[in-house]
Formats: sequence, structure tokens, C-alpha cells
Amino acid sequence: MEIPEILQKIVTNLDPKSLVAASLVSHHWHKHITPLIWHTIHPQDWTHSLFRPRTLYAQADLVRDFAWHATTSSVYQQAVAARALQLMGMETSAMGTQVVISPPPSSMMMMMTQFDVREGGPFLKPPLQGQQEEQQRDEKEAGQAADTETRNGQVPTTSSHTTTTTPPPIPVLDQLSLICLTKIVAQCVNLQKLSLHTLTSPCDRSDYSAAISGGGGGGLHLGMIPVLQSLVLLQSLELYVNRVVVYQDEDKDQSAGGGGERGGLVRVVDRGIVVQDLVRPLTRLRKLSLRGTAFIFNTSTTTDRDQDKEQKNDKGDDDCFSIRYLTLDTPYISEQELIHLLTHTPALQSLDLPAGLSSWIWSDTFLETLRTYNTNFCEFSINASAQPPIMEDQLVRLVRSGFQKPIRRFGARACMLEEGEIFTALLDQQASAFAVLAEEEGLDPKQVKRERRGLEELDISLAKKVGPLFRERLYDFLRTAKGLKRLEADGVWISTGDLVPSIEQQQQQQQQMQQEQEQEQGQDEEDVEGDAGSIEQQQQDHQPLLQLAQAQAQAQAITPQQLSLPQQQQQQQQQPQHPKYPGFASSKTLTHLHIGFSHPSRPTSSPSSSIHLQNMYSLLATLTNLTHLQLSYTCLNLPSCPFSGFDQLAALKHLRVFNIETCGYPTLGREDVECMVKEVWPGLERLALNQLGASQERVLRGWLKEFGREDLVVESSRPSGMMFF
Amino acid sequence: MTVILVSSDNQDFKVDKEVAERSILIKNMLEDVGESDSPIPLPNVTSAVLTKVIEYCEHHRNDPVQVPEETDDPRKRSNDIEEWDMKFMQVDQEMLFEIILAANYLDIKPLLDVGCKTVANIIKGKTPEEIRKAFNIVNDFTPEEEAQIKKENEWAEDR
Repeated sequence: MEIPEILQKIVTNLDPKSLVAASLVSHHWHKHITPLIWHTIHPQDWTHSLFRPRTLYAQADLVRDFAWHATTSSVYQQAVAARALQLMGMETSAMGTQVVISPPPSSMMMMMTQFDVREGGPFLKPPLQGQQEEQQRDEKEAGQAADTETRNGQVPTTSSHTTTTTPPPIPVLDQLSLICLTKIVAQCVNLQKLSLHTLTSPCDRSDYSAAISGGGGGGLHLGMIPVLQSLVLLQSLELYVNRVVVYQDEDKDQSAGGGGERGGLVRVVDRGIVVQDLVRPLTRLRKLSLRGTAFIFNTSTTTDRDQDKEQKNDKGDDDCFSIRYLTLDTPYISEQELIHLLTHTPALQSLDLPAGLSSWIWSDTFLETLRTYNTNFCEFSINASAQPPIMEDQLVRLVRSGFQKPIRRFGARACMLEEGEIFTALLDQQASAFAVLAEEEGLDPKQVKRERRGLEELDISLAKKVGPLFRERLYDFLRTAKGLKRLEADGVWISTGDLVPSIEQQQQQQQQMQQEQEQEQGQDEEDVEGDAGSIEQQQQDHQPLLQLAQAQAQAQAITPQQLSLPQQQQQQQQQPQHPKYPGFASSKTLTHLHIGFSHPSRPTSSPSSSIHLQNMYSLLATLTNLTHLQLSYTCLNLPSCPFSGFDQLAALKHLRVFNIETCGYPTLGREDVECMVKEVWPGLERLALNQLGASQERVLRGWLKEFGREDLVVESSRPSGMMFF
Repeated sequence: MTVILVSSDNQDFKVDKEVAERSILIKNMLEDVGESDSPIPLPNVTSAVLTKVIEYCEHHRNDPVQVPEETDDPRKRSNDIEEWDMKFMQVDQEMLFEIILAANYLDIKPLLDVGCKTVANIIKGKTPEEIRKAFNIVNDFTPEEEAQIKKENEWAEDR
């Protein structure tokens, strides 16, 4: 215990309560445990009644991971402030993106203080109490600094994008917490990860109260920008900002008649953060995630910049950023702006884009930039939930032309995937990228394919306008793509009949395999040995499917002997396999699966439904490494239904999360739950049942308690629906 | 192939190379020395402790190499100790710490992990005073210091 490394390793295994107790054992223990307690500030920590920002301020140098999410942490503030507004009969109105709050009566401050005292909330009162003079001075300085920065052009708050012309400025009761938040972050000099979320909508009515209560709810304090720039150890930065709050000095405040004693005038700037200026000093930044409307992207051309450099006699600043993971949920970003940013992020590996890229044409320049400037680029996602739609041909062009490396993650959420050509493109891209890698490195393409990572994550959730060809290509993809770990296909349903082949189809496949093996024989002896092992494994993996096929054959009066293949063919099974499999080619690697297994309109009681369910369970039973399973549009026959096949899912030994997003037909009984959590999945950690009402949830929790599984987390999204008896 | 390990009290232990190489320290030494019959001295490990360590390595000789978890949260879980490991760690406290020190010295990460988890399980649910008593630690806080630290950290109890 005297060796710090050993002590630290021991205490990392402690639960929070024991950790705090351990910090009180001795000075030695306190010294080595306190950094662990303050290592991470979670968003929910701010809502804790005993959490003191002043203490955080004092321990700030120990913090490595800091999160402030106004959407969660200001719930309390909003409730209190909104109630106060209601009680005082305050009028609020919105004028475009400018929010005007009527000057409050002086009694409002008293009211707020009363709330403060009663609730003990950390942010309606000054977090750093006992420093009021200093705080007022800070406020004044912050306002002056803001003006100075604006004048110096460091933060172009008067750009063409900002709304600064409409008077009057906003008087706010208490902006102190914004400044204090800034001060606390400024003290966290060793921060490696920072996440700041302000409220969602600049025009949101609930935002007025948040602006009053401050604490980030009203926006990002302008003073935070230089603070962020000073966090040189930062590796991950996530900002959710719709506006920047600029404080004005007291003189201006008083001349504008805004209330006087608290110096409460602020100006709201809609787009006040120049992204390139923000991240330029952060040389260790690997992950940047921006969300909201407050961001401006520098669009000066390379030529302009070069001229600027010459004029400024710039010494060695090549204006390149170290960012590898870039997430932009900034609806105003133009294609040109992104192209400009991409040319300065040569290490970029991952790019996530928002919905609503209305002015985008997915130009050749954009694709060429990705391919030539971002040679490590291999992960992409786009969420087209909002208008306008993203067309499949755009995505296909991106897949075929935007990547040099094999794509590792691809997401096309809510995109138009009518013909499923994206699946063919993804498979082609893998093949060609591996071939190029093999050629470059002088290796065998098969070896490269085995040793390098290919497509591991695919998100085709909420695919729109899908047709028969989409489904056909999807099945082909699922039978062919190996190494997939995560498949998100929310709202996409597949028919297992197409993935569990008939006897004739299996025999055809095997004949095809034989022909291809004959062609390959003698070409690569080592591969033959390696693949012979894998074909055996494959046969074991798909045992449930073969059993199902036998059962189907019996039902169709085909004898089991007819299923037996000639000896010659059995021997041929030991040869290299055809790339297509009867079920999922990624059956051994898939850990997350979210998909539907039936058409929403399919009646559950029909005979075809019963076969369909057995197909589904047989197919799922082959995915033995699944940890997360979410079934959408899927009507289940649970354990209590005889011969449902549900028991086959006991093969999913690693399953930790099961999410049933049913169409609401089945009943989930006590026996079902007992079978599920005790026999089928004893290691289950979370059970999500959509459409579960409060009373039903209580019943479920009661059963879980009875079965000794109180530890199992139950989640539910909407009331009513799933029936219990 | 076997290798000979020599404990601090000069006892020889003949073990399979595969078993000995569960220790990264020994693995690196063998790689550096190459093919050699020379015994490997382990001056920081007594024969009693080395016996236990070899027992652990024998049992886990076929385990896959542990991949470090990619997690930002430094806190882990201590309730996932395998049954055999739990029984293996049912030793007196002195031996438990000797095993942890040996695992640290020999660079046997899985053994170090299970040792630390076992100690963590002893600490769990105890008050500061009970922890002090369990590990024979003297309280060097003044009452004021203790109250101050408690006030500063109590929020973290319910995270």
C-alpha cells in the first residue's frame, strides 16, 4: 500500500462510496485517491446537491475530463427561473434571433435569492461565494475584454453572419455563473477532454429562463474562447453552442438603463466562434465535435492565406490541425467551407456530417479533397433525418471516390437507398482498397485482407424508399461481408426466408463452391490449409441453420438421407469456401445488431409467421458474439409460447443488452421473464422494452427482484403497449 | 522446453518456458539471452510466493494475451473475478500483498489485476476506520482535516 502505483491500481476498482471512504484513511491515501475522485466531472455531477463549484475550482488541476451539459444540468435552474418569471408576471418576447427580456423589478432578484437559499442550487447564487467584489470586477473585465477582442478582430463578432444591429441589448439578471463556469474551466489546466453543451435553440422560449439563470444555458461566454485556446493538453473537445454571450461594461449598461447595480447587459452573437482560430493553438487535439449554429468556418483560399503569411512574415505556421475525428453538426457549413477545413486536417480519419446540407452538391472537388488530402480517411457517417434527402448516387460516388483506405465505418442514416447500390459499392471499395494496399506493400492480397481491418460498422437505419433490389443487395452483402462488428439498421426489416436458404439453394451453393475451389486449387496451398480450418468452423457456426434446414426438409417429406451430400462433396467442403454464406458472413464478429425481422404488417398468428420466427431464432443463434441486440418491427414468440425457438438464443452467451422494439402484440409474462433472465441470458445487464407503462414497469421490476436480478436495468421509452399478464 | 527460476532464498523452480513467459519480465529476459540453460534469478521473490505465482501461471498458461481496455474512465469493476482466481487469492493478507508485489515485479498483468481486485473487495463497504484497522494504518489526519476532506468529497459518494 506504500507503493503509489499499487495503491492507485487497487482503488481504481472501488465504487464511489468506498473511494470517498478510502480518501479519508490517511494523508498518503488521500494524496493518491483525490485525483481519481476529481478525474472526471460528469454532466450529472452538476445536479448533485452537495457538489460545490468552489471546491471544483480548488481541485481544478486534477480534472482531466470535464463535461457541462446545460440540457441536463440546468433543468433545475430552468424550473426555478421559469417559476420565478411566472410569479413575477414577466413578459418575454423574441425578435428574430435576438431575445429581449423585459427589465425585471428589483424584487425579482430577491425572489431568485429566495429560491437559491431554499433549494441550495449551485448556480443561481454566485458559485464562488465570498468573492463578490472580485466577481463584479471579473464581469466588468470580461465585458471590456470582449469589446477589446472584438476591436482587435480576434473574435469577429461583427461578421456578416451575426445579428448585432437590432437594439436593444439584453439585460440579464445574473450572468455571473457564465463567468464562473469560464473561470473554472480556465483553472482546469490539465484538461484532456472537454464537453460543453449550451441550450439547443436560440429562439427557444425555455431559453429565456436559462439565460437568466445563466450557467451556460444562455450560451457560451465569449471569455471561454481564449480559455479553450489555452488548454494545450486538450485531446477531445465537444461544443454544443448556438450563440455566444458578450458582456458589456457597466458604463454602457447604465447608460442603456438596463438595471444598474448588477451590470447585466449582454449582447448575443449568433455566429461568434471561428473554428480554425479556436483550434489552432490546440496542437494535441485529436477529436473535435461541433454542434449548433454558433460556428464560422474560415473560407479564405490557400492563395489568400499564403499572401497573408507573406505579409505577416509568418514563421512556420502551416495552419494544419492534428484532428483525426471530426463531427460537425453545424447546419450552416457549406461544402466550400468543409473542403477548406479538410485541406488543413491531413490526419483526418473520421468524419461525421449533419443533416440538412441544403447547398451541397457533393462536388468532385469535395471527393478529390477527401481522397488526396485525407489519406487516412476511413470512417464516415451522415444523418439525413432533416431535409433535403441524401441520394444514394451521392453516397455511392463518395464510397467509390472518396477513400484511399478500406472503409472501416460507414453510416447513411435516413438516406435514400432505393436500389441498395451502396452495398455493392462498399464491397467493391473493400476489394479494391485491399488490392492497392497489397500492391503497395508487396503482399498477398488474401493476407492483407486477413490482417487488415475492413468494414466493421455500418449504419443504414431509417433507409428511405427501399425497393426489392435494395433488399436483394442487402442479403447479398450480409452473406458476403466478413468482419462486421456493428450493424445498425433501425427501421429496416429483412425476411429470414431469404437468408436461410432452402435445401436446393444450399446444394447449389455447394456445387458452386466446388467449381470455384477447383479453379483455385493448387494456386495457394497455405491458404487452402487456413481456409479448411475456417470452413469447419463455419459449418459449426451455422449448425442451427442446418438443423433448421433439416427440419424444413422433413416437413417437406425430404428424408435426412437426401440431405447427406455425396462423399466427394463432403470432401470438397474441406476446401476454400465461397465468399457467400448461408446466413451472416460476419456471424462470429457481430457484437451489435439492430434490425427488424419481419414486415410490420405481417400478422403474428399466421403459419408463415411461425416459420418465420423459427428462421429468425435460428439465424440469430449463429451470432454468438452479440452483446447488443435490438429488434425493430419484430413480433416475438417468447419462451412461454411452445416451440417458439426462443431457447435457441441461449447461444448468445455474451448478450448484455436486449431491446425489444415490438409492434406490441406479444404478452410478456412472468415465466417469459424468468426464462429470459435466468436461463437464456443470465449475463443480461439491460432490458429495454419500448411502450412500457409505469405500472407494467413496476410489475416487471417485482419479477426481477423475485428472480434475484434487481441489478438488471430496465428501460422504457413510451407508455402503454406491451402487455403483461 | 523448460527454464529454471531461482527465488530470493535460492530455491530452484523448473517450469515450462510457456508458463514462465506469462511473466513479461521473464519473457523479455529469455528473448534477450536467447537459447540458454542459465537459471534466471528472481531476487525480489521468495520461494513461497514464487510457488503461488507459478501455480497461477500454470493454470492460465493457455489464456489469450490481455488487450488493454480502451476506456476514458479510470474506474473499473472488481466483481468480475473468476471462481478459480478467487479461491487462489484466499490467502493471508501478507501473502496477498507479496503476490501483488511479485506480479508487479514480474510484470504479470492479469495476476496483478486479480490481486488488486481482491484487495479492493476487502476495502469495499468499509468506513475509513475499518479500512485503517484492516490494513493496520495510522490515522494521521487532524479532526479538522478529516472534516474538510469529507465535506469536499462527499458529493462523489452518490455518483
